Amino acid sequence: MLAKRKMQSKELAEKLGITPANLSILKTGKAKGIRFDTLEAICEVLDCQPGDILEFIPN
Amino acid sequence: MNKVKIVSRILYYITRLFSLLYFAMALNSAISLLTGWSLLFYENGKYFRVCFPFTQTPYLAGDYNLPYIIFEFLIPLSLYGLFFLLVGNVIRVFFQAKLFTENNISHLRRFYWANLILPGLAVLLASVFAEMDELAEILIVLHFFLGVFAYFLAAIFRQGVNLQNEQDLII
Repeated sequence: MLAKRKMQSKELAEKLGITPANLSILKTGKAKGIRFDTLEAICEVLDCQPGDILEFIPN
Repeated sequence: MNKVKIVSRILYYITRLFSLLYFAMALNSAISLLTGWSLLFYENGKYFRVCFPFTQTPYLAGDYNLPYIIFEFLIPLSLYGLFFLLVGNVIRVFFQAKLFTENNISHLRRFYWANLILPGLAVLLASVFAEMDELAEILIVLHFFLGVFAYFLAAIFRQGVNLQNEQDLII
């Protein structure tokens, strides 16, 4: 989605109000969870749906 | 949490002061006993009194024999200096920005190990060379309970650190 919107991670992190490190944790799947307001902010900035950025991978 | 931080900061300064005082008393006493400066003797040298530096005003007294001086005077003074130092470190934990950290757990760990082991060890060593007071046994028990309490507190903090780490990974 970042590539589609031609946006860098640093810019997205600034717009979301989170640190680049936390954004990296989200991107690499190391996060334990995501807050709804963070998800809402991501979807708003990237103009997308949660399904566009979340994927279920069975163990 | 603000009140806790204020109270803990006050207690931290008080315990640091006590620690400094105990260490200063131990050092002053050691110097006095080694050099004879600011030292008074009573009853034909049976008892000694340590005076404030450069004065003749006594503030500590004891039996003038080597086992007493080492095991029932200097070592307890030094150990109580250490005790208040460790208490201060534990209290400082409560006005840090983050409460549940590995560093704070390590302060609790040092505190509980010191309280569980040092009093018993010191009294055991002293009892070989000198006769121990009943008060010493009471102090061992008191410090043991303090150590156990700190041990449980460390376990709570360990849980807190785990929860904190999990919370930090919820973005």
